[in-house]
Amino acid sequence: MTTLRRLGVAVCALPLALLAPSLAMAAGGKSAPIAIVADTRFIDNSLMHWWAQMYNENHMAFALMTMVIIPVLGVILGVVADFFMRMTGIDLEKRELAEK
Amino acid sequence: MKKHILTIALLAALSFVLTACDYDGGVEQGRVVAYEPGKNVTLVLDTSPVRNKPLYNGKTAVYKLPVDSMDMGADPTCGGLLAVNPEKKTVSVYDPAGKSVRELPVDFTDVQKDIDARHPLVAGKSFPMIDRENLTVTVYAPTLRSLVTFSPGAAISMPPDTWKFGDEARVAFSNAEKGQALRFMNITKTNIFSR
Amino acid sequence: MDWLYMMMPISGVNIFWPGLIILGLGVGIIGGFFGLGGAWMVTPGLNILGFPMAFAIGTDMAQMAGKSLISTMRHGKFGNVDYLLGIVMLIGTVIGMEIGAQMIMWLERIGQVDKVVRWFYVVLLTIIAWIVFADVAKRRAKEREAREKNQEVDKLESGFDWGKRLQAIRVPPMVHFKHAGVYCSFWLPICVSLFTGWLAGILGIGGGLIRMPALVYLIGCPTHLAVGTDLFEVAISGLYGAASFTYKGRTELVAAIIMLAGAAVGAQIGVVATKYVKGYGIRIVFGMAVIGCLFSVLFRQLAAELPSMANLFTVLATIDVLGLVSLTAIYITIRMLKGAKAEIAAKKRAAGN
Repeated sequence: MTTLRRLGVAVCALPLALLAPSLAMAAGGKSAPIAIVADTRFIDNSLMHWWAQMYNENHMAFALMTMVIIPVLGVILGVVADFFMRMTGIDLEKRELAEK
Repeated sequence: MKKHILTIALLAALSFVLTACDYDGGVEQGRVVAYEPGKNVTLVLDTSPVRNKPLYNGKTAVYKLPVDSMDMGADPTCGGLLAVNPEKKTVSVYDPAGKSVRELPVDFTDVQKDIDARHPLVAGKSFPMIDRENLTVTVYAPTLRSLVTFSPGAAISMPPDTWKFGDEARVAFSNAEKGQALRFMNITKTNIFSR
Repeated sequence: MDWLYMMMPISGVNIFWPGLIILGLGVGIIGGFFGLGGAWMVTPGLNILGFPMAFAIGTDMAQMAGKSLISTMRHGKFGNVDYLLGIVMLIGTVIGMEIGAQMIMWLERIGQVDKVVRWFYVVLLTIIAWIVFADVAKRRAKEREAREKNQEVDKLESGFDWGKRLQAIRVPPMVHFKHAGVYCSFWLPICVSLFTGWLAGILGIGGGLIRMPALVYLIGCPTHLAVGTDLFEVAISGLYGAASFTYKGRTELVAAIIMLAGAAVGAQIGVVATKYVKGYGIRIVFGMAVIGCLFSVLFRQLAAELPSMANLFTVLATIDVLGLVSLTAIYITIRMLKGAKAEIAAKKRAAGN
């Protein structure tokens, strides 16, 4: 199985996690109902400005983007790290399964 | 392998299309001078070009409150006092009758610096303290971390709320409908540093 | 030195970004090695960096999801992840967490919930630490016994064999988790994950700290498989948690990405280190980490119970966690470097011959 196919399995399993609306709450404790507005008046960087303004205007889009960015970035960083780890000459495919 | 890369790329592209709309709205910040729960809020805007150095020079704006309760922060306290400036010997207040900001010359009789909100002189006290005998007003200015007492002269006859700091608030809006707040944050009552 | 500080676009707070990378690196190493999400390690670190706590959990979950994904990819290559077991466990975890969360809300209505929960946490961590070290002692006793009879203990043998006994309960349908080498009733991982999910839901934690030992002692997974499989679950539940907190506007993604850069490196170190450390080595260091966590919870509890000494205990809790993270991360890194050096030297020798 390739890494990406395994990733596919992970994506398929995601709806399972979505079944539990309070999983995150359970996982991270309660959060008080507070509304936060990002102060975009002083952000010069256009990408950061766009990002913060999206946060202000559309939480759903912001959450969707996060859901995409995190795993995609995770895979990219994983692949890059893999490239460098291979250069070290360590065998990254085998390990001895032993308790002692 | 290629198929999976394609799927991920498509997924990423789709979400970009979904989300990469023009978020060209804006944000305004200011002190709340009027508030009608469930309807609208009036702010005297902070027009300073520098962060954390507010400048209230008269620009006001009225916003309809957000539709979704999730986007509405804590109910704000209104007040007419916008800024105290012991160096310039002035205070800025909002005059609801003239719907304008007035900079009043005052005499500062006492300025105690380095006082935080937990200081015994401040904690549990309610401000402004208006002393009609001595014609003085005492307020706590959190931005200056100071407890100040000043004498506004004849202006002391203005309504008591004139000497109360309104909460600082920040409002997000879209360019399509500038008068409608998409989200309302009560900066004074929101401590992002505590959980 | 302005360039060392970066403004977070959502909260508008200036943060010392190298601190975020170091924090990410540390939890990346530890998470990859033990199969933990490690929220309990990240929060005190973020606090010290002056990170706004309103964004701490969401940001932590976002980086945790990315970091665990990187670690899972690496563990997967070693064959340390049983995806089927992970998915089956996910069902129980989700339902268990939901029950736990509902129960905590019910307890909240009665009152005094925080205190009860924290003491419960202390008891649970004590039990886990006891199990880890009692198991180590038992395995040693088995070895001594075998030596007396001039025999050798199987290398996959563990001290406690609760896993084997539970596997022997043959309630259909039976499932073979090939990678983990476990043949058991489908209901065993469901029940175990339901239980660990329930505990995590009650305690308000991600659950890696409980699930990893449960996989080892109750399901009978080899330690390496337990670490990899648990990380797979942490990645999925972390992603969901991040989505939920982000939707509530409580994630500073830029900070999560910076931490992730550190964690990507840390994850490599942590996971590759498991190649050079045998199962019991991992278990012993895990037991020590549990004791460190136990003390941090204990200090926080004492801070809540003795308000006059609250500052002292809060500082002690922070020192405890940060000291634990640094020492453990350094230890794992040294083990990884030594192991890699020996392996490369051996390869060179082999090539020379």
